[in-house]
Amino acid sequence: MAIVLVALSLLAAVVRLVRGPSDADRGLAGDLVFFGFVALVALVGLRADSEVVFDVVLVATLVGFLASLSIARLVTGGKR
Amino acid sequence: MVLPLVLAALTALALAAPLLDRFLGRSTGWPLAAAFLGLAALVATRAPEVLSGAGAPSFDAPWMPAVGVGFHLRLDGLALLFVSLVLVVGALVMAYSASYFSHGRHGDFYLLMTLFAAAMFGLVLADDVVLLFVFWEITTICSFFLIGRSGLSASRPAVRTLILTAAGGLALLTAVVLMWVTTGTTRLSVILEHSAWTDDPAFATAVAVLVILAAFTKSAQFPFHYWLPDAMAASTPVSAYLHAAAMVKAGIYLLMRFSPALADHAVWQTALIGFGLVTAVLGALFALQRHDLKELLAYSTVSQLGFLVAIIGVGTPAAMAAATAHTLAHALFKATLFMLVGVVDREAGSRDIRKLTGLRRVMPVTATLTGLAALSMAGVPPLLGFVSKESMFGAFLDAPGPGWVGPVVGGVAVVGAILTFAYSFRLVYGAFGGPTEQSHLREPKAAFLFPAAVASVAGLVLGLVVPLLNPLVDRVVTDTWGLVHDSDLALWHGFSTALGMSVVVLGAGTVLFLRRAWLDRVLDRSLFPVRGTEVFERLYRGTIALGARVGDLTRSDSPAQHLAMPFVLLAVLASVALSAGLAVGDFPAPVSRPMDWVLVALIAASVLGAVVARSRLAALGSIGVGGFTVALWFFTLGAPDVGLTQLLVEVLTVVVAVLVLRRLPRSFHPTGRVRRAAAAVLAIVAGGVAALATYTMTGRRELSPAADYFLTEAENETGGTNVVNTILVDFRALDTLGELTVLGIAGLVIVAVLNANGLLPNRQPTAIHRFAGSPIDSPTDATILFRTVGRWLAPLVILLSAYLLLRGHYEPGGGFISALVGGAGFALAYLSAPSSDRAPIRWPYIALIASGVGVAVLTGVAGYLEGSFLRPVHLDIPLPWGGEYHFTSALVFDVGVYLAVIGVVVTALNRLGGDSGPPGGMPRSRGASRSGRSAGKETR
Repeated sequence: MAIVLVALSLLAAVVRLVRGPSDADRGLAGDLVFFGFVALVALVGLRADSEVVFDVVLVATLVGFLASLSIARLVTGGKR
Repeated sequence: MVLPLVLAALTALALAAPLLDRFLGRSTGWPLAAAFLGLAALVATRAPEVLSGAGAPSFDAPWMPAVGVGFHLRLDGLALLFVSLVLVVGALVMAYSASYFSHGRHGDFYLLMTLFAAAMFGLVLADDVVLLFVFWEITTICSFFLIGRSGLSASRPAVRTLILTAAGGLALLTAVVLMWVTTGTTRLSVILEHSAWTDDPAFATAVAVLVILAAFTKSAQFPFHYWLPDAMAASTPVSAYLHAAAMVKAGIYLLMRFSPALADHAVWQTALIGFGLVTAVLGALFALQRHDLKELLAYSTVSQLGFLVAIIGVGTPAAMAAATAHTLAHALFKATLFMLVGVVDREAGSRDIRKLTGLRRVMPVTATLTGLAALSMAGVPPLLGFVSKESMFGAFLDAPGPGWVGPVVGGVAVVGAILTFAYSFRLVYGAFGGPTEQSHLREPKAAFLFPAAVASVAGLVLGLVVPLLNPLVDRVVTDTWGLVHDSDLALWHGFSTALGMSVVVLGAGTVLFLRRAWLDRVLDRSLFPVRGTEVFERLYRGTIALGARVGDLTRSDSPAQHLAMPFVLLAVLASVALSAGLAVGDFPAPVSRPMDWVLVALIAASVLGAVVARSRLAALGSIGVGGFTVALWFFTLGAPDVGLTQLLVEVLTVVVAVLVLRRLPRSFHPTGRVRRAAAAVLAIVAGGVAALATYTMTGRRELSPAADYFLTEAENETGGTNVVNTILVDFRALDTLGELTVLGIAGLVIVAVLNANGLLPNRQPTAIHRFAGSPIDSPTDATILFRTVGRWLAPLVILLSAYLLLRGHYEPGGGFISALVGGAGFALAYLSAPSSDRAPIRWPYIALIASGVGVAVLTGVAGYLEGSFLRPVHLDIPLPWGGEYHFTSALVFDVGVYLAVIGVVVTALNRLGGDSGPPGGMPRSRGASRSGRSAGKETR
């Protein structure tokens, strides 16, 4: 149930990602997608009763925000 | 041993000719002529043996034993006839060349002419069809160079000759292969007696057509006759030898050689007689039209060869006898005429019969010799030409087919002979008759005339003592036909039909000569709507245009066109597979879970989003979503290592893609509607094909034996519990080594490409200056958050990456994953730097890549301690707190992987992340490429 809900929110985020209207909207939608993804990993891990999932969540949280950060850099045209 | 000796001697002479030329200049012709005569005498020592029928001298040596091709030479009667032509006429032409050419160097001429003689000698002696073909092509190539050496104007004729005769040569090659495959041997004498000629009509027809093509192109038969007049651009000795006596006779030789096998074949008879007679009459008509003496002689050669082809087509023993005699006669009188025309050209400075007139008074000897040769050509008694022509007439009347064929063929031959008579007289009269205007001319020196005189007088003498030729003619007929023939060449046969025909020829020819002014008027127009050279050039240009058209199909540099083709082919393949009927097995276990459909929906949404997105950022984001979903999919399928790698690669891809995207426009280039529709159709088809393939070809069997082995034995064999990692670094480490080398090379390529081309400048969005002056505009203030986070996060990332590296053998992790985590740490450092000057990571990235690959390879080499390359070395190290640590060199290998991947990530960040525009900002980057360390110093 939770998986389906998160997935639906991700679909909504994808719509926002594609439609824009501005690049900042897209950046935010991308960030949301990423955290939705981490949630999905955790939920799937629960379902599958897997220990590996903690490693994945750890790695994902530590490095995943980089994607959002770099998209933000793109929004400013490479300016810091 | 005489045969290979002569062949070797000719080749050696050819090689020595340039050397002789260095000392003797044009006089090289004399020693060569003497050598040719000597070799002819050498061959003549075996002649009695050949002529008596005691057996053909032969020579056998292995050449390509693996395919059964031998270096077989055989001197039978037919070969003896052509060998004497090659050597004796060759000697005369060589002697003639010594006076014909200007003083100076002519080494290339003598080299090529002697080489040509050697090839011709080999061609007529070859008893192996492959050898025959090889010599055939050598004559073609020599002819090409001999024509082409006459300067710029001769280059097109040379090319035309080469292409046409080479095309015929390829027909011969096809025939050779056919015969080889059908009869199982390459020995000519065996092939000709094989039963396949009668048992297999399709084979015989195919070979007949191919041999006819080869011989017609070489011997200038209609419709391939045009190259021969064209080739008159060559110097006169070349024309005399190649285009009168030797090369054009190669086709005649081929036809005579194959006539015992094919003479009863309808295609053979029809083509030879039909085309031969057409060529004979047309050639004679064209010759009558010409004013240039060499062109006249060229068309005359075409015409005479037509007679020969036709008489070979008749195919009776008497016809073969006539062909033999006429081959000899023609070689003598045509070589003479060419040489004498060359003499006139040299002395009078012109070959045009409209400019030459009355030379008989100043050059009586030349005039007499020309007259003798021309009379032989016209077929006037008592010359050799008369005898051979009369025996041809006699043979024509026996032409195969219904009763009316013989008289018709004979009638056409008579018409051809009348025209021949007319142009022979036109030649002599045009050059030597009429009022004398060039009274200052004199007779050339004797040495110049001598070779021509020999051949000319030989025609007369041989005509008078023609029965002397009977043994040779008989032997030719017997050796080619296997029938004993009693030929009776003689000047006087009594009153016969052939004699009547000769009388008609003489009478009508004389009338035509007397009415020459009328004849000129009648013929002074285009007889034929198209010229052969024009047809050739049109075909040639058409071929080139066609090639350009074909090339246009793929000329575009745009990847779209080149990608479309494989996709279309994919669709074709799929339709073939579908129409062939698919046998689909059953799934061994249920495969569909509800979770999967959630992921499918997500992926579909992200793919759709990426496809319809106009903004590059939206596309990148959509792809990222797809990537994350795939990572999730890997997790649900139970592949945590792969999922982790996918996740990290996805993140780093976004980071690097952003580095590139910020230099590109915000939106994609617009594309046309038609193009989009076509691409959509292709994409749907290709996607359907891939889906079909995946559906039908996966998941339809139990675990593979290899997988079973890995799952049960991985821990025993390697000590590791992470099966994926043990496969990567233990079982199939070569793949990993290859992959990390690929990565390293990609890093080096980034450096190389950017050094060569530089980067596009950053694209600054205009909205930024709205914040000018505010803290948002200050890089230092704006990055404070991330700099603070980075300070705490960096050690954590490093620790995490080290942890993943160490535990990789037992838990998800290992070289690639840990290195990607480390790379993400570098990306963090890059992104959180307050300015672009401080952003570059001061690590020697090329050294990192090199050391990574080096460590991995060295670890692999260390495997030899255990037996083989890339075999892990295990070591149990006792720990101070008890227990043991199971060390394996796979860990070192993973360190190599780690270093290489980190190096590549740092390379990409440093080289793509700079602000340097195209070439302007290069110097710093250049320095960095030479050595990462020095670059670090410079920027510091």
